[in-house]
This record gives sequence, structure tokens and C-alpha cells, in this order.
Amino acid sequence: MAISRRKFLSCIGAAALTTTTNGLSKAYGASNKHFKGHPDSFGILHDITKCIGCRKCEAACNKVNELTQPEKSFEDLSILDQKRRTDANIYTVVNKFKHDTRAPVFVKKQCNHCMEPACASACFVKALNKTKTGAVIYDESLCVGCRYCMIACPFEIPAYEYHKALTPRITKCTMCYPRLLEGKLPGCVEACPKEALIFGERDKLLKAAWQRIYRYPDQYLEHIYGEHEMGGTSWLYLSKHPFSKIGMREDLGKKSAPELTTGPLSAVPIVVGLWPVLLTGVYAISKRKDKIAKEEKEKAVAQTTALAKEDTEKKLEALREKMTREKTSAINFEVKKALEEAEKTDAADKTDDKAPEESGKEEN
Amino acid sequence: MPKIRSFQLILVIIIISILLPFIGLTNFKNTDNQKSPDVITIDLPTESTKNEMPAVDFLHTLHNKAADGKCAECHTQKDDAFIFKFKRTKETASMELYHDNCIGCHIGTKKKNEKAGPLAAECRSCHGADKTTGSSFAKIDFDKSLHFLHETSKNVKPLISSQSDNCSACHHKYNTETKQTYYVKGEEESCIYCHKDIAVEDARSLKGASHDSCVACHTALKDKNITTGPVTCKGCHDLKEQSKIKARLSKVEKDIPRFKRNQPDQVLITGLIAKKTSEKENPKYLMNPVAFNHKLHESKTNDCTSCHHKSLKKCNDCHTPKGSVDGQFISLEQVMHDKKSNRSCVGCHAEFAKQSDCAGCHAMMPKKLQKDSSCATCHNTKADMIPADLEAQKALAAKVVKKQSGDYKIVMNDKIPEKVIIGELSNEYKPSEFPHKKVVLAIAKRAEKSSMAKVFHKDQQTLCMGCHHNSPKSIEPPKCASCHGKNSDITNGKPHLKGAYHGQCITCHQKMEVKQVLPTDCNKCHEQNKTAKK
Repeated sequence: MAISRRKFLSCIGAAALTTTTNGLSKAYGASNKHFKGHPDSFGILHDITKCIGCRKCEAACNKVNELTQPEKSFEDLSILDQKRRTDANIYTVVNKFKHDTRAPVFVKKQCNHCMEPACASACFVKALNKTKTGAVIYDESLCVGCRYCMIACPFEIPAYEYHKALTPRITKCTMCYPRLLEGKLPGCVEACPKEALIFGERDKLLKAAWQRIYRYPDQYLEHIYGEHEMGGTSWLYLSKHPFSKIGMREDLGKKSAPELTTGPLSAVPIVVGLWPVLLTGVYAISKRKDKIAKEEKEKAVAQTTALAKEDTEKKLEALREKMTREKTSAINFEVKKALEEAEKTDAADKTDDKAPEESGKEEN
Repeated sequence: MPKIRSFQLILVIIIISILLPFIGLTNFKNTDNQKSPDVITIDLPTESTKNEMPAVDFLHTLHNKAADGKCAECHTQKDDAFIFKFKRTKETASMELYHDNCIGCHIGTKKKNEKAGPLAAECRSCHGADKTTGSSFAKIDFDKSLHFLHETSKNVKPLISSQSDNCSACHHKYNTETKQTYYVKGEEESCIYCHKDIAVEDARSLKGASHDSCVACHTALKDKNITTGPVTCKGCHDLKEQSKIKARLSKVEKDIPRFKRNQPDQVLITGLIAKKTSEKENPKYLMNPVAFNHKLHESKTNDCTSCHHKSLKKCNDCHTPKGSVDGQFISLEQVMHDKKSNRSCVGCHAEFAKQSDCAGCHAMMPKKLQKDSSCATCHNTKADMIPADLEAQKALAAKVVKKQSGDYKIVMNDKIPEKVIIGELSNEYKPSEFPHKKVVLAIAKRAEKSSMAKVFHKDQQTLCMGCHHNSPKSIEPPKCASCHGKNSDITNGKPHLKGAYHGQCITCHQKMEVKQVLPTDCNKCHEQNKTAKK
């Protein structure tokens, strides 16, 4: 019996589904724990209420990362009127948001250095890594240029050097990792005149941020962006205005990207491992079915044949018996007849006694 | 010839078909893009569980014009005054009432071959029709100046002509037994104490009461060709019209006398009283009372309701020192110090400090509990000095208030440094020449506009503490670098020196709306040092 394509696919689907749902309902070792980041890892607190939109951070970023100079100088603030995002040559941008008639709000945008980065979890060659300093860094020697990280990032940060034909790289803010190793502050933090960016251990920054909220309740929302977003980020934000109104996504949830994908992804190896077994199983079952059918058929045929044979034999036997009986009766009749004849002859000729006895013996 | 004609015809059709949609569009934009204040939403309470039609946005001005301004077309009359409800007096509105009368009138108009509104079966033309771009309705505040205008108007006549003032024309009380209004001299109150947002058993809603009284009076006067207040929706509820009224009233604003309601000029607000040991003993006050300048506060508010939210009684009639049922068990102490209410002393003063003249310093001050020293600013009278007699108490309050308002001392001009060179961090930029005295005097000028600020600041030295914060008040306060290091741990809440300088200067300029110095104009304060190592 051949298996149809449809049946095959539905079998596979069912198998995959059962394994995934099992994977979700069961508490796996990995998803039960909450990774709170490396101890003493660093972060940066961006107090949006303090930012004046001077673009000193952009200029410093450009300088310390040795990026190409933009056409318009960093002192030209008219560029703030456009909504910009990071690209291969710009690791950080400041965007302006107008709120009613009051003074505009400036928000710096760059890699948020997630505690459990989506980009790193999407990267299958480990070219992106969360270091113990808190910085998420990139190793171009490993990168294969698949750009999965760009799709994975919920903040749309990693950029690609499309203009380079032979050696394109992924680029993004490194939290000035090389400078951190030298004991220096990140370029943007050092340059900020208003201390709208402060650098320190993430835990301490969180405390400092909550302290600001408590001490100035009129000036801040009771929300530190990045404390829990996407499982927490090293970059933290304080604002007076709702984050969704200043170009920051509030629909990301509290789970990190790896946490969201562990369930379904953990099912993958099982599904992959199950395939050969399943296929062989399906094949074996259908094969066995054929075999059983054949055997049954043979058995039935054999049975029928046997029955028929028996029947014929019975009939034959009956016939034989009948024939034997007839024969015997015919013989007996003949014998009787002969005897009668002999008696007749005996009566006629008593002298010849021995002769019928001899003939009777012969007949028996 | 025929060939050419058909070609021309096709061309004309093409041109028309291209232009036609645009003609429609331009018409649409020109006519419908204005909001008006006269949109009345007719939304009856649900009558059945079936799906009902959406509410009707009724354009009052349009209908008023159609009726040639005759109110009687839609409103019933009672004792020479119109009841501003649609074709009824006290009954609740019903769907039939609106359908019969609205559609009935539309049919009548149509029969006269005039432009008429939707008829029966054209349900959606009224229900949920998107004719308007929203309402521009704005509440009008009947404040001191409007009150004054009516108080002094010859056309507003008192109930009994012998009365010297016309308060009784509007103010009344209500007898729940006889179901009649009556007037008591000296017990006038604000409309909103009885007439709430929604009508209750013994009082119409504020909306109903004010339209029935104000508009009826205005229309009656207008009919007699006497100059009077607005009679249309727009007249009161349009922001432009309101600003016109305000502009007209601003001329008389300074001459507005106080309300005549027997209120005190100054009064002692006393707190808890100790239990008496004998009948003859004078009451012993446990808290230093507040000598409250009622007269001054009246001049700083729009009307009585800024503080007196439920009646014109004394605060501690309901909010007793220990709390009572009438005051919803909110004690006198709570009600005066509630930071979140803008009717409490502390809450209202904090709100005042948010204005740009004050925010330069006050916005940067962290939220904290009252300092011990600040209690005495309000609790300015000794408890053991309180006389038993009420009039004597008022006299004492007046004395204390007068003394307090004259207490403000300024810092001698020669003690204020002229210029301060801030060069602690100069590198990319040259040292900043900070015009210290100019800034001090500018702050002083703005802060000292307010008599309240003068009382609370006590003296000009307090202004120094705006920048030279967190250290004892002194004429020679410590420098910024005394506390703000260059590389200290920043996460403890204390900014580094660079952050402290820029934070203090720029934030103050932003909060005080100093437009001359932009926060991003670096060279305005310190010149760029082109030779510096970056």
C-alpha cells in the first residue's frame, strides 16, 4: 500500500505539533531561569528630560569610531527636524519630537545592548556576543553576512555596509567596548555637556533612575525604559512623555528574544531526530499491513483448499464404500446364486460334495 | 466636419472627467473645515436593548437662523421665559418627541419649497452623519470680572426694587418643602454648590440652570432692544468670543471691588484645642495658628470656588481638626497640606511655583517633606497669644500679616560679585565669563514680582540658594567644585562638575524661558578654543 503525499505531510505536522506543545508545557531548565545579566555589567542611563539636542554625542561617536565625516557638520541642528535612524556610518542619532506647544523633546537612539540580545541569538556563527562589560560586540571575522541580526533586532539598529562589495560588515554601536577595556568612558557619555547620559554599573543606574523618579515625580514617568523591555537592556531611559510618543516601541513585552524562541526552537532537534524514526515507522507500518494481508490471504486460500480437499475425500470415501458395498453385495449375490446352484447340483449330484467347498474358499 | 466634432466632444469629456473630482474637492474643503461651538449632541438614554441609532449632532446656529432667531419655534415658554429644552418643560426627552417635531418641521419647510433638513427614512442623514469636524465648544468661566459686570449693570434688577444691590436677581436659596426659591441677604453662594453637572432632585444641572437664567435674561433684554450679553451659542462658548470678552473686562479688572459677602480681611486659622479642665478656662490651642490674609488671596484667585469647593462656609466648619462626616473625615491638617489638591494651601502654592518665574529654581528642587523651618512661615502666630474674642483674633491676624509682608530684606548691591570666571574645566572651550550680578538681579526682578514669594523667601539671600543649593544660607556660599567632583561616582545622584554647571545654567534658562540664550548655543557662554587638544 503506497502512502500519499498529503498523508505524509499531515503525519509530519502532527508529530511536530505534539513535540512543540510538549516543549511549551514542560518547564525546561533553560527557560525556568531568568538571566539577569552579568554581575557588575555596565549600562548607560539616558535622561531624556535633560537632553538639549546639541548632537555632541553624535560628533563624539563619529570621532571615536573613526567614521567618515557627514556632509553637514554636527553643529548643523536643522537635521534634527528629520526622523533619522542608524546606518552603516552612523551608530547613533538624536531625534526631535514636538510635544504640544512646549519645548521639543530630544531622544538619542543607538544599540540598546540588550541583556539577552536578539541579534546574538539569531546569529548562527556567534559573530555577535554579549560581553561581561554589558556591551554587545561584533566579530567581523566570523560573520557570514546573512543579516539575520538586522531582522532579529526589535530596535532596528544593526546596519550593513552595502556599499562595500567585498568586505561588507554589520555595524552598530559597540558601547565603545575598546574604550571600556582601556578604562575610558564611551565617547557619547564623555561628550554630553548636560549629563543626559551617565555611565555606570547597570544595577546602580537603575537605583539612580528610580531615585530621580521619586525625587522629581512631576518630571518623570514611573517607567524606566530598558529595565524590563525585551528582557532588559543595558541602555536605560527616563522620560516625562510616554515612550511610545517619542519613537520608542512599547509593544515589546518583558521577555527577551531568546526566551520567546526557546520553546519552539527547543522542539527543532526533537523534530529533526524524529523524522527518520517516523518515516521508517510509517514505512514499516504500511509494509507490515501488506505482509499481514498477504499472509491472511494465503491462510484463507489454504484453508479453503484444505476444506475442499477434505470434502472431496469424504465424497470419494463414501463413493468407495458404496462401491465396495455394492461389490460385496454383488459377490454375495453371486455367491448366494452359486450356492443355490450348487445346492441344486448337490441335490442332483450328491457325490460331488467337495467341489462347492473348494470353490467357496476361493471366493473368500 | 462630423469627425472633428466627435473629436472635440471626446476632448471635452476627458477634460471634464479629469477636473470634476477636483471641483468637488475644493468645494468640500472650503465649506466644511470649520469647527463651530454650537454642536449639541442629542444622545437619549438607551430605551431598548435593540441596536439603536448613533447620537445626533445637532447644529444649533443653523436651526436658529432657519427659525429667524425665534426661540419659540423649538422652545416652550413659561412665565415669559424660555425653557431651553427641546419642545418640553420638565419631561424627559423621548425618541418620538424628536422624530415627530424635527421631521414634522422639515416636512413643513419642504412643502413651502424651502431648503429643508432630512425627512423620515433618511435616518443616517441625522444619526451618525459626519457633517461636522467636531465641536469647538469651550466652557465659559463666570469669574470675578463677569460677576462685576453683572453686579454693576443697571439692567440686572433685584427681585424687590427697594433693595440697594441686585444680588437677588440671580442668587437664591431653595426651600425643599414649598419647592420655591427665596433670597437671603448675605447668604449668597456660588451656583455650582447646588447646580451640579447632572440635574438632581431639587436642582437643575448647571448647564440647564445657566441657560435658563442667563440666556433667558439676555433674550428678554434683547427683545426690548437693550444692549445685553450673548444670546447665541457662539457668544459664550467660542474661544475667540471669550477672548474678546476678556479683553473688554481687562480694563475694569483693577477696579473690581471685593465680593460683598461679609468675609474677613485677615483671620486666624486655629487647629486643635486642648480639653478644658473647667468651664471658665480660655481655650488652649495646641498648634501655632496661621494668620491668613483672606483679602490678598481673594485678589489672586478667579472666584470663591478656587478654595471654597462646596459652600462658602469656613474651612474648619466641615474639615474640623479631628475630621467630621461633613468633611468626609478629612481633617483640617490634611486638607491644608495636601500636595495633590490645588485647593489646599500647599498644593496651590506648589502649583504657583511651577510658573516660569519660579521654575528656574523650584523645578530643580527635589520633592521632600516640609522642612521644620518652613512651618513657621505660615504658622506665624504664637498659640498662647490667641485672644478669645473673634474680632480681636482678626486684629491680631492683620497685625501679623502686615509685619510679615514687610519683612523682606534685600542683599546689598556691593556684596553681589559682578562677574565670575568659570574655567575649572576649560579645554575645548575657553573659560566662561559668567555675568553673576546681572543674573542675580534678573532672577530677583522676576521672583520679587510676587508678594507670596517675598514672604516665603523671607530675604533676598534665599535666591542665592537657588544655585548655591544644599548648603546653609550664606552671603559667601561654597563654590560648585566644592561638592561636584570631576570623576566621582555619578550614580549616587550628584552630577559631575560639567553636568552641574550645564545642568544648573541651561535648565534654569529653559525653565525660566530665557529666549536670549539657547541651550545649544555653546559660544554664547564660552568661546571655542581652537588650539585646544581634543
